Amino acid sequence: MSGPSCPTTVPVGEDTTVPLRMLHGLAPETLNLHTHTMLSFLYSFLPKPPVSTLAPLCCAATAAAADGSADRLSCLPDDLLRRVLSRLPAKDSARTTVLSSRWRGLWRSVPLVLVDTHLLSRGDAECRPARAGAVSRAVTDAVSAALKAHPGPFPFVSLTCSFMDATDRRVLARWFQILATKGVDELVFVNRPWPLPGLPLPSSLFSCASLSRLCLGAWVFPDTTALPRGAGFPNLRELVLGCVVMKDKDLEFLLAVSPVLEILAFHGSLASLQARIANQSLRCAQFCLSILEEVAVVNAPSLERLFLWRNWSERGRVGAMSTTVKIGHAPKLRVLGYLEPGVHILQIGSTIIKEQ
Amino acid sequence: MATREAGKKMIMLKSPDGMEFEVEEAVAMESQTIRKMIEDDCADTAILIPNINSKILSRVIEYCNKHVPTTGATGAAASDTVAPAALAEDLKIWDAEFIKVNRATRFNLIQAASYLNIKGLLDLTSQTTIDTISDNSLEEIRSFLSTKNDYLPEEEQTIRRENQWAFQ
Repeated sequence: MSGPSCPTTVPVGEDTTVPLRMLHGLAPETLNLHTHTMLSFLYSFLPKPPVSTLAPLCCAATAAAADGSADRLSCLPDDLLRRVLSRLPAKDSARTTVLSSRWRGLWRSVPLVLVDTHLLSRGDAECRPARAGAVSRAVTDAVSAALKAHPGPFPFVSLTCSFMDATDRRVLARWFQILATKGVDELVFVNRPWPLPGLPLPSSLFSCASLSRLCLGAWVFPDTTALPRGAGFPNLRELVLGCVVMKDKDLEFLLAVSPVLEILAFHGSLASLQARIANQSLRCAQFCLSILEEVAVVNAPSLERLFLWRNWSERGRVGAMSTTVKIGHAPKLRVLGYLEPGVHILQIGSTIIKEQ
Repeated sequence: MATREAGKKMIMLKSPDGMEFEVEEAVAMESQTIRKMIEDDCADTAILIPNINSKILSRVIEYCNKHVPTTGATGAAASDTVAPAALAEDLKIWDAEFIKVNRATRFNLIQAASYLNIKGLLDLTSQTTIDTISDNSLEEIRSFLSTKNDYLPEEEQTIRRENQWAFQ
């Protein structure tokens, strides 16, 4: 056990206002400084859920309750009640199914926002568990049950509390099968394995064709060589990969099968990467805190911004220059940074710029 | 679009109980339903708003007055000097006060917001309602939603089991 000065769990109830350093609850003894930095980075930039467990207007609600009159809410037409339901966290909205058959039908017809931190019991003060155990297991089971019970679609799914290891492969496969068939728009999926990098994602990830935003953390990216033809993300606009282990060819494949992708963020990659960027729609790419040998912008007619920050290369360790940045066809590129003398080699067309 | 010149144009809204409200066109156009009427030139004289009594309509107008973008009468200077974030924060506080009403009024406001298609007011009223739902037991929710439980006891058990994850 950790001492009292070393909390093992941290609150995540306020998805928007928690101080950055409190956003994850990994057990301190499992972290070295570098991993800590990368994971803090990842957790602090998780997309914000569209529903909250906070009740911002509960004072007004209490005031209304105080007058004792019955609410005629049930007299409202279905589309208005759906609107009300769609703003509730998954647990609260699912509980209304027990009210009456009408409410059950309504619940099933409202797209479900599923955020696993909302499934933690309030008694746990809504803290992400710091290590695998009964709490994380209960959340994983609740996610499985919720995905099964609701017919979909799921406009926003955020799963960041599970500690999945090799024994969970079947659960993982089932989740992706459901997400692919019922439909998911935005998916935030961060595993909490120790040691990193952890578990490979099932290749059925590529069956989730409706994805418009995908944020993966602490996974091994699926091998794309065995994928069936036609697999891809026709709707994907934003892709965030944090602490993901990925091969050069998988990134290349991903860019090739994402025809409307605009934003690519690559953080804390744990495997040495040579990134080759060829994509018609990409507007912004960033590579941070990663082992990066080379970024080659081969053909990116829409690319406006390319950011590199605190990457290093395996070659750098033996005293050579590190990351090479090659700019081929990028007619709209306006911002390129941060280039550091002695660290980066910049090659634009056939002109090479480096420190002597 | 309500231009600066058009900002001064007034529109007459009539409630079914015979009250008339003169409001700036820009304020009335916070309602997408009224905006459509104005744009389609169906608003020459007074616009009759069916099903919304004068008490509720005056609250709705109060809301729209507060939420109309400040480019008209108050002038661009005001929005230049006040940070947008501060304005948004003020509005939030104002909204929270505005919606401190009894259930019957809130119910009427939801209906009005829906008919007049005022997204901000619809969001505000639905959010207040869900805050009531999320903080109470099922029996309390059932009673104040005046929902009749039409399940047989065994049916209710099955549904409870199906969504057991939500009751833990």
